[in-house]
Amino acid sequence: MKSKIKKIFLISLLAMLALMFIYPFFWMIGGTLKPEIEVMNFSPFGSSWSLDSYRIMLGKIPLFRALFNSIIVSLVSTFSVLVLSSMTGYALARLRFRGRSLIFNVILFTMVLPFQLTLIPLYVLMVKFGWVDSYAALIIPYTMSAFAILLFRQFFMQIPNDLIDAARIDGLSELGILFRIFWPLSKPALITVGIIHFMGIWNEALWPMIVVRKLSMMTMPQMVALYAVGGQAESQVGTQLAAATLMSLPIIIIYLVLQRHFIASMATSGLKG
Amino acid sequence: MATVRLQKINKAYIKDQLVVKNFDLDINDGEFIVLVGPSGCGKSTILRMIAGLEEITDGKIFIDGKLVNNLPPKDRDIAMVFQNYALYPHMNVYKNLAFGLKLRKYSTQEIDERVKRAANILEIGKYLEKKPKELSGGERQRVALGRAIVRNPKVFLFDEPLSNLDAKLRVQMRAEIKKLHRELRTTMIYVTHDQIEAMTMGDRIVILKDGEIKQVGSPMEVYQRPANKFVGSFIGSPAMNFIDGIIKNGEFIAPGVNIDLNAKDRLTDGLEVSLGIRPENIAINQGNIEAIVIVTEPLGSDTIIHVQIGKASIVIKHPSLTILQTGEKITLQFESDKIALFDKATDEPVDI
Repeated sequence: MKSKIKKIFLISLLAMLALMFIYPFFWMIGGTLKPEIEVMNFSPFGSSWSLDSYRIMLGKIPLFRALFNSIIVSLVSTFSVLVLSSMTGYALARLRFRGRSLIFNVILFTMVLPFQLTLIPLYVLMVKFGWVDSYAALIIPYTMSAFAILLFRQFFMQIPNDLIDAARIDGLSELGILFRIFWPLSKPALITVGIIHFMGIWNEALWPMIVVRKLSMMTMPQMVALYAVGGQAESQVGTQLAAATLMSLPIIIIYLVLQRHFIASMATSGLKG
Repeated sequence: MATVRLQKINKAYIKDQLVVKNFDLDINDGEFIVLVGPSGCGKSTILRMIAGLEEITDGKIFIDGKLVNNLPPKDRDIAMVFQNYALYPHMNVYKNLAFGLKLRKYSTQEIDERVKRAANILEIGKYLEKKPKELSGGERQRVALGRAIVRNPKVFLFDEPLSNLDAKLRVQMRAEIKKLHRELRTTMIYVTHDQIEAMTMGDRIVILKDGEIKQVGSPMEVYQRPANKFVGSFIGSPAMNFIDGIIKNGEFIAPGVNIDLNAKDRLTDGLEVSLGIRPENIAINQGNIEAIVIVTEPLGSDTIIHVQIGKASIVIKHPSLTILQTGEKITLQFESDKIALFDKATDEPVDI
């Protein structure tokens, strides 16, 4: 009896916490559908429904262009991180060469540097390269990830050595071993890195704001931020929320599709979420 | 089909710390050779150097008369079977077998024929669509053998392939590998730490210790005429017995033991030696060596008897069921033509 009460108490507590977490999200979606005057109400439900907020927002900013940019930038960057970081992780885990642990330590060290610290030098580089207002500036600084390298290295170290020897005797090159043996065996690591990196770069607003001025090159978060804070929304909270909703939609869809893999990978890749 | 020649091979992982020292060996075409020794003796390293998975610090390796020192593994025309099978977990059995052939650009038809033939030899036809994790250990090792066979290599390399199998399966696979060798007549180099595998499988055995060859010979040669005390103690189960003593007037003298070797002219007086005698070459209730029974282990077909002579512990393998009481006094006789003597200073055998 006592344990049952305890259980009920715990479940209600967790339910309340979950509600607190999810409520702003519902509120945001509700806000986009309510009449403008009711947006600030506590309840996510309005007296009537309409898609006016979306219509107004889409009429004012080139959001589809931004969506396209975001997709290009996030996909290319994520693909590149998977390829290049797994290559680096393979070398660090499996090849013997001079300076290996030094290189690994330097890579680890870069993880503790906050992005704000490298922001200015990186911007100067972009200007010198003439990459401002281009995909290159948005993508190239994100083609590698120290976190991904670390994760791949740890994952690859668990793959038995004999498998590599067998592949070498079968005639695979080192890259062949990585992409034809290690990749199929590392799906959890690939999915984990892929989702985490994709989310990170999809939501990145600071860096695009620094290297992109042209409206046609802007990504979703930048566009939404500019729209919401930059005055174009004319203080219409409903339309601001509509932009934010559109921005978060792709991530939510991806997560829902892959969530089973994602949770499984979190468990098997030894990475606690 | 090929000869393999290892010439003055040295290997050091850390400078000046040799794990393989001056290794010289000529392996004949179609021979089944077994490298055996305790763990850390360098036997796997030698195999991996032949395969090209490990660099050679010094020396030359020839396969089929061709120097292969600088050839990558795939160009050496060898196939290797690993202790933990090393099957590709994400491919089914068919693809595992076909993978090496596919990389060598064989036609689909040729690949199919070879895979089917190997599957036939090893009776793994019904597993072809299964993934390795759906197979038992024995089945996996069969697939690993199949992967080696389809390539039709010049040399087969085995790195402790049976160590992960249970005892019964090990005996069975032992016979199968032997049968495979008879059918294919390909040169095979087999590494194991198990002296029974070495004895039962090898045409010749190479016994290694600390990176050095201690003896090369047929199983019977190394068993009957061990080149040193280490070989005597390593080959045979239970191991050879050793009693430390001294030579006096052609007799071997040790506490409680006095054996006339009838070799007064050939043996130096005062030489310190170890007398080696195999457990099955000791007869009980005969002769004049007195011993005290410590424990008996009846195995059914024969009995292992542990006794004490003076300070030495001796094991006897008696070819029938005999139960002796602990503390019982018995007499023993060593078969005189089976006695081996080793010089204590040099570890070399002494001619009697």
